[in-house]
Amino acid sequence: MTSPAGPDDRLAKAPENSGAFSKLSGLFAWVKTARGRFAFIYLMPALLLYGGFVLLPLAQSFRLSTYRFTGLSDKEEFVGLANFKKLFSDKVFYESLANNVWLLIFSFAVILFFAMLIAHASQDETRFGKFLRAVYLFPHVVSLVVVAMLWKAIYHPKQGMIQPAFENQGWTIPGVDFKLGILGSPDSALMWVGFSFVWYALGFYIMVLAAGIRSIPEEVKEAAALDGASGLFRFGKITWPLLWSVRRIVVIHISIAVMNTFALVRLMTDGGPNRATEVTLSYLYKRGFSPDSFYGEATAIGVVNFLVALAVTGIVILVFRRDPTEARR
Amino acid sequence: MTGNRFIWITSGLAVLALMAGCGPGEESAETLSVKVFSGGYGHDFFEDTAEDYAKDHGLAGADVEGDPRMWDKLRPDFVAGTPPDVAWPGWGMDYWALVYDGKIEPMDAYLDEPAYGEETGAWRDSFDPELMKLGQHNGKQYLMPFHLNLNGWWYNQTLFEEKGWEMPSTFEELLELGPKMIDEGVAPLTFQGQYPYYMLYGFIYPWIISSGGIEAWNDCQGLVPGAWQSEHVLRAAQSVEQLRDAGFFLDGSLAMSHTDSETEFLLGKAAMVPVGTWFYAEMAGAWPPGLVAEFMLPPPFEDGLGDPSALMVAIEPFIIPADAKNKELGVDYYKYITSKEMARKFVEEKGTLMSINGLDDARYASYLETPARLFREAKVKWHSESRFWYPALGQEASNAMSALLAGEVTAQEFCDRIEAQAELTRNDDSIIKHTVD
Repeated sequence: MTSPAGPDDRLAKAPENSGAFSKLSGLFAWVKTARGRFAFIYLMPALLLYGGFVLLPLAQSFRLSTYRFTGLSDKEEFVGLANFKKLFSDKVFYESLANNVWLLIFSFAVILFFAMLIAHASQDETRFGKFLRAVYLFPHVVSLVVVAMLWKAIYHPKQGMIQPAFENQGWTIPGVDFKLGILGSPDSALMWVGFSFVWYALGFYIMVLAAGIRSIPEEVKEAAALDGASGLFRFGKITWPLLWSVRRIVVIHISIAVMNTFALVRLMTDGGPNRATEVTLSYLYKRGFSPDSFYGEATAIGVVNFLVALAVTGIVILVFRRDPTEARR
Repeated sequence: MTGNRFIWITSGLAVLALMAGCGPGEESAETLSVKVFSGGYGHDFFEDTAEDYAKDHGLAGADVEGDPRMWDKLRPDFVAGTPPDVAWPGWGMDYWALVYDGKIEPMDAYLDEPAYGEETGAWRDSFDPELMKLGQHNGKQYLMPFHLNLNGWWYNQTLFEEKGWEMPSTFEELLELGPKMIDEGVAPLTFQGQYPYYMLYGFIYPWIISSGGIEAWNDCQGLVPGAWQSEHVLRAAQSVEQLRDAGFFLDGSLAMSHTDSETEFLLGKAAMVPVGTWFYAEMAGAWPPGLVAEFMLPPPFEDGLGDPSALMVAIEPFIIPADAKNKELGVDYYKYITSKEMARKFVEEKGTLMSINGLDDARYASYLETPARLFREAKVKWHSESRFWYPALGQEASNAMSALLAGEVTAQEFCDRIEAQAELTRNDDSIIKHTVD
């Protein structure tokens, strides 16, 4: 079979120091070629779906955030940046954003630590390693709604597994007032919601990190072993630095997942007690859907949430911008 | 068959199918479109009655849809201008936003017509006038009542009889009874901490009315400056503080949902719970055999200025969408289900109270006999519509309630916090204001 591609069918034809414009013209030139047309036709369904269900609603959100719109009728009134002005003077929004940031820090710390620990332990060809490989992804395949219900039942002040057991032993839990319940204690409720999120999400990050550890070349590991590096030293000098790109992906993914926290909060606490667990998206729901119908203002929250997630991702990329292992080469 | 021939034949068939659909065929009769909330009462009543109505009126049929989150499903219908002929969106709908956007048909002209199957009189006389007020704005009737919810407390009568306790009829009696209950290992009260408006309806608002009369509560709802900081609101909040500090509330209630706390009540862990007349329908599946629970009013203050029979009423409105294809049909079907015969059927099948007059002879479920009596005897019927008129104020009151029960704020701070939100609401010209009478 001969390839339909001609000698000019290469995207790489663009000049080496090309800018975005010349890259774009290179892309158009490629689409005009026989192979480009062929690929483009096959990409069309996916592009259309992505455009229609991701890009278009995203653009629509930016548009609606500048309108007074209830989401209950076709009446729209352009208000410019008024929704954003109102939002930036709303203390509840700042409280919910602060809760998001708290969840981000908590999730970074706990997920990275435990995911790395379990990913490392799961590499062993021991029974324990095999057991870990068999079970670590289980929580992640459960629906978030089920996770919320499950943990709510575990935290239940009377029928749950934690509070009654501690109370029976006469023990206390720091930050938890048993009179108010685990999820009813304003000082610690967010941490318990965060813990449920970590339990749900951990498996995915273990999988990513475990794949990263497995991709470290055997010869590197062997060389380290020959040099006498073992245990924590080998982890600190070999595994951790070589997982740089994987860690970057993990941190970016955690940022996005935490900024999108909604179902757990909505189902476990509804943002309470006294807004202690309110996050931006649960506040968005309350402003835009129930009990309020300020859909335009709610969309402004969505836009800010998107921009914050984008900024956090940008910061992560900046922090991880340079592969530390490159300097050694 | 070659590829080209296949394409031509299938295309031809598709065109024929389209033409058959568009062509002049048998003139179709109208179809009644109904969308209802499907909660504790299901939606089979509406399926049956709509089918009967369609048959009796020679319609092509009735399209009835029920959903536990009907308010969400109706949103795109309203935006697209294709709402049903009649709807019961359920408790999560922001009805007033629909009214302000002109999406709900005013009912006044229809209400002046005779009721279903009648030759004379006005349909509006079928409804309790106090309940009709809940759906009015600027002198027009937009929201229509159907079944009726009463808010109050329920007490475990079986437990009370077993322990020899008397139902407290005043706040002072409650204070006397509580320690005896605690001594027996039963918490006097539990509440739905995850949804604080239950505690506002069950504790704060009735005690504001008990302390200062309905005027004190009307001032709060009417956003009168300083109303939320009045001595009556303060006394209500202090009473909650008093109960909290005396250990009247079941431990952990603040972390519980409505069904969690109501389950604890049914298990006998708490003697009383603030909840409405839908309680039995909501918990029927978990109701222990032989347990008898009775409805009661939140115990009023002995020296209060308010009427001790004051009762909180609430409706979950039916609406006729302004853009409905067959508005007249929707109104007529709604007239049909609010006829005495159909309303009686709903009462007897679903075990609820109705907003329709003249149903005293209906066979009420035993657990509704007390609420029905209290409704008849109530000299003051009050509501909490301000939660729906001003949702942000309702939210802040809920958060302040949580904070008060958690001991994060004092009674005075509770009042100050809600007053601050009331002031924001009062000064926000973009929020449409309602009058309270």
